[in-house]
Amino acid sequence: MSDSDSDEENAISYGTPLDPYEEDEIPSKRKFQQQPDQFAVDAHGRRRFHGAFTGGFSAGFGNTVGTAEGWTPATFKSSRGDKAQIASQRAEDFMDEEDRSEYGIAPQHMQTQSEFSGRKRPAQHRYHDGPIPGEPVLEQLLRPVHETAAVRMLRAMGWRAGQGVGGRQTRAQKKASGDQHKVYGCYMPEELRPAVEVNSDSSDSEFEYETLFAPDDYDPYVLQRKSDRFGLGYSGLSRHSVLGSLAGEYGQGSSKSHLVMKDKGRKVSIRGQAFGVGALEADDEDIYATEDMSHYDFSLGGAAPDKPKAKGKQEVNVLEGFVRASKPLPAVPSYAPPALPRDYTPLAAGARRTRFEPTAALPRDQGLGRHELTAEARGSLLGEAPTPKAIVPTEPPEDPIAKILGRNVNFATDKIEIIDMTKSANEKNTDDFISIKDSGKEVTKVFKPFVSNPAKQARYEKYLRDKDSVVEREEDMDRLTAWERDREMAEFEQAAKLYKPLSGVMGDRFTHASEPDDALNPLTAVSKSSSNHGLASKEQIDAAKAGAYGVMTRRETPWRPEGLVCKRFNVPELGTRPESKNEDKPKISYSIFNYLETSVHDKESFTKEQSHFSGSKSLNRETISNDKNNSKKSTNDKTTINEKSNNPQPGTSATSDTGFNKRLTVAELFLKESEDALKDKETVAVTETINKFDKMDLYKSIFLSDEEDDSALTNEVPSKNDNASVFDFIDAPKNVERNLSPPRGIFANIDFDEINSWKRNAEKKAEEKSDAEKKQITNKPVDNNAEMDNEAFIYGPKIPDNLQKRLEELPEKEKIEKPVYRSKSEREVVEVSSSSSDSWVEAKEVKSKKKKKKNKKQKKQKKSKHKKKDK
Amino acid sequence: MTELKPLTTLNCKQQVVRAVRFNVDGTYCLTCGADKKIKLWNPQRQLLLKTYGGHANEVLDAAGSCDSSQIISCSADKSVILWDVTTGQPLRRYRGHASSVTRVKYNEESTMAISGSVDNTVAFWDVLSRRQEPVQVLKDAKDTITSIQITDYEVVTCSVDSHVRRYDLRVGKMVSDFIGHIITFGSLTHDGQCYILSCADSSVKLFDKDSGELLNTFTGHESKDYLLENAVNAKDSHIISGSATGEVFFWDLISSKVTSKLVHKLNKPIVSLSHHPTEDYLLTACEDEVILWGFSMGKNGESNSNKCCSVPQCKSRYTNEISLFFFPKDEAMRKRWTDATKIEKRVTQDMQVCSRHFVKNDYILSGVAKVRRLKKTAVPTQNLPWQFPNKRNNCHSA
Repeated sequence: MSDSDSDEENAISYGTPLDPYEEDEIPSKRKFQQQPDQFAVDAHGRRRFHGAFTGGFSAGFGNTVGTAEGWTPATFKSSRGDKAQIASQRAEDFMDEEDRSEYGIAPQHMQTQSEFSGRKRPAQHRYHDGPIPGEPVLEQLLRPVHETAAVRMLRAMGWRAGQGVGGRQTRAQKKASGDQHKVYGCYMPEELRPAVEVNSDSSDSEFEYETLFAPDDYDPYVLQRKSDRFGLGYSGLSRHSVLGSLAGEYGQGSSKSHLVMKDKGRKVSIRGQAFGVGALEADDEDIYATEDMSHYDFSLGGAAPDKPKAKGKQEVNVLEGFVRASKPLPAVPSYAPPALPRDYTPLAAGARRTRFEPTAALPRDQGLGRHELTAEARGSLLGEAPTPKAIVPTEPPEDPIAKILGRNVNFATDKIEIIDMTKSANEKNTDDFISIKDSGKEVTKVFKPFVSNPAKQARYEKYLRDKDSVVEREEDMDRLTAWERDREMAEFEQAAKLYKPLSGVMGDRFTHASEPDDALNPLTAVSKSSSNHGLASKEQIDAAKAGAYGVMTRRETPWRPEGLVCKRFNVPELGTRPESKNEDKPKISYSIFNYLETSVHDKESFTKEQSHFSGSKSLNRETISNDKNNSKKSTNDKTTINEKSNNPQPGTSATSDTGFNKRLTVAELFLKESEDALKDKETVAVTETINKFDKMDLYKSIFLSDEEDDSALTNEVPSKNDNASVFDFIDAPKNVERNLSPPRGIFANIDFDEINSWKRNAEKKAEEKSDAEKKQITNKPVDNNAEMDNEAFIYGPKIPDNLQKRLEELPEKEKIEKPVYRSKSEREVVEVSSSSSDSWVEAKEVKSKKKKKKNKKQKKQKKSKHKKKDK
Repeated sequence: MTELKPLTTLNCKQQVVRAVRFNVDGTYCLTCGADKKIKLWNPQRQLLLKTYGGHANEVLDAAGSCDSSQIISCSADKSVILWDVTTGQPLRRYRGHASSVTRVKYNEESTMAISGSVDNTVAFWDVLSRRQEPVQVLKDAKDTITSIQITDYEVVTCSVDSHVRRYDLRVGKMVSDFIGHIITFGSLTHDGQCYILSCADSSVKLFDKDSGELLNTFTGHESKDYLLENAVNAKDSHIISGSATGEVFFWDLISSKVTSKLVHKLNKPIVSLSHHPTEDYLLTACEDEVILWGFSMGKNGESNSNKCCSVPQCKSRYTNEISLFFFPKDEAMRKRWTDATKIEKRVTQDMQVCSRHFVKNDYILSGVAKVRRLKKTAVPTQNLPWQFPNKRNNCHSA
């Protein structure tokens, strides 16, 4: 709502307002509209048919493409996301819905289900293309008997399958009807037919009057589909040889040659053969007749009638119409019953007295399967040493393993050797099984591939024994031929390769399970592994038990991170620097940490205290009284520092510390706590922990040697004004190992009011006392023993030489010293923020300084550093 | 430190929650379930945001990337999966471990994932590239890796073989400390100077990182056979650990005294917990229930309810002092309300008007809790948008 409509609100209006009428718009006349119903449209109103000249049937979009935008080529679409959604495409997917409608190209009509349709037989179902395509075989074999009513009626009337339908006929009638059927074209005239019948009658046999035959079955005239391109009625060459029967391997009985000699010596009628034969048939009768003795008559007169032969024999003991077989029937082959196993005892199947009695029958294929062997037997096969309890008194004949193995497998234990009459004496006295350890030569004893042939086995063993040496000929070898010998050698070689147990190398890979294999029951509790110490040494375990954590329980090993890991962690990669630089470099690296640390240990008392300190480097220091510190320091250092330009502007460094102020380090927490504890004198335990974290005095010593000679200071300060001094060292090798990490808690809790009191007397001692706590204080790894070795792995400043000697001595003394506590307000703390880049003094330039001055220099630099900060 | 109170409870329906983890800024949390799923929650609002399914076995740990765009998770199916947070699809699947992967962590910039496994190895996976093999494999541990912590240049791994191993990338050195007890979890204090190690002997031990010395031992809880986790609060003042008894123990870091105990679910182990990176919120997981602990809302007076007044120019939200009232159902009354509040939008069901727009007489304080209930005839009159003349109200009343 706005102001304007508040006025309108007071007016009252009736009726429906007209549409707003705009002055400049004139209502136009109605446009000409085409009559809409001149075109054939589809259900969607799209024009479906055009004139013949404009495209006829309309498809797609404007007869062109699928969409208004045009044709878009198929783009690759990853199916990774929706693998499950991929379905096979069907033709229907590409059809319009009109196509599927009643008059479309693929109408989908409704249909009654088969059970409701009038048809009795189920529609022939199509057989899917499963793994076995086509009609199921079983269905082909077993067809349900289906008789129509007509068949049943015929049966009732005496019809049999294979007979024709109709009244019984005599043989003559049947023959006549058969002839009748064969006649195509015109029927014979009635007068001629009886003559034919008479002729046939006369030739036939004696039982034609009394017997009636069922008419022949109607032989449907089946038109064979012509599948070749030969002439009508032609069938190509068969595999029969032209003149003889089928080739030898096919057997003679079944197939006869198509080339049949009808009458001996007269004519060869050839059916269904190659063209040439048929063509020549009329003229040249004997073209293929071969000279055969059968073509000739050996006696005078015509062919002898063969009827009388049959007649003569028929009389004796033979039924009328039957002929005695010329050959006796082949005897039914009788097979011998299977040989029973030797240990078979005839027993009714499952004849047990009670049903709880175990079946006595042994499985037939015993010894062949893995599970039928006992653990010992399997072990022996593998060449394992037996478990001590498994040693059984040897009773060779009764031993079940021997029985099993002897019969079924060609492996044998020593026990069988006795049976097998193997001679070697040393084999008999050995253990049941051969351990993996001494598997070298004795392996072969276990495996007896030629146990069936003792002589051969003996030869085999001999072969194994002196495989390397030349095999001398034996007397039994002489019995074999040279070929046999060679063959046997090859066999032995093969066997020696094959029958080898797990060798020592392989055997070492396996060990006995210490825990039961409870794979089946995952819920069984695993016994608590209380003695899991990894690779911890005895001393480490003892130390850990005693609670003496620290040096004793710690172990450092070099480790090399991959280059890519370093890259991802934004850490400079180790080992990229050339090795030569390491050698060039002096042992001391001039990192700021180094100076601070060495100075820390200038004082004796100081070092003792600091040995307890295992402190924190506070990233997150509160900025306390920075200004105050600055002013104080500046007064201290004004005398020594000659250039103000060197100052790293401590004010900015302090203020640039952002974000972490609220968080105290653990060390500070301990400090805080220690102050309270001192006041309250609570517990000794707490003060001990405080000892470790009392850092204050550490920083006193930092400023001990502040007033060293100024010339060194100027060298070290990276100032632009002090060009001369810089140039002196400009060609010095750069310290590649400079610690690039932000300064951690070293600068925290620096106590500046102690500086003045310390610096007067401390210079001399400082040199000697540069000591070992470096590791604890600054997290600079020190490996005093293998320092040379580890050089490549050390990151950050190097340890001065003199420090290393002292590294080991100190820790004992340190704990005795009592800590000094001071309230926080007393302490004046300087903060060097990690972000202030200036506080990171490049110490590289100083590196080339003479080594004898090393320690002195350190002090100087340290001092100068403070001065810079102060100003 | 005052006691934390359960603020919200997430019923994860994940059978058992194996791990619960805050994301990088503590606004969301991930729960890893035995049902092979990872769920992303807004714990403050008890809101299930997304479920990530694709692991073939229990998910054992997960971590969110620093930009909260990806999740890395590890599972008992031996794989580590990198997930896209928004789509919920696995981006990569790392199958380098030979056994179930127990822990996974991102490095500081989420460019690498570091996973530890039952196969005693720690593998570095390059998340940025398409590389399927681990960039580096640490095989120093002799038993299962139970926890991994990453700083900007260190990798600290704890193992069942009673060792803490710190791999310093800058120095190129591995420092292993033998602790003597199975370490079930190890974390670092925020200042990066101390290890906090949960040991299987029902203690939490504080070690100095640089020297390897024992600084403090915290006892009182019960670890039994569980891989209990620990945490340190944002100010490094308290050590927190779960217990097999279903309690959460808070120890003072210095005095090692138990300062408070939170009861999650008695006699059910609290195996996983996660502390908010900056504030005093704690997530504990017990069975399939995750509780967000924190200070109750009234304390700082700030409300994070999302219910607010719909009157233009009024920004009040629901607090103890301010109630919200729905618009009346009655048409005439509703018209009067909308006119009074100058709401130009259509009034929906969810729109409310806060109590600042009513005079005292308009509502009754009812019940024990003194809930404000509005009288039927009340119309908002106070603190309304001012630009309309009074005549308007008169007009309506006339």
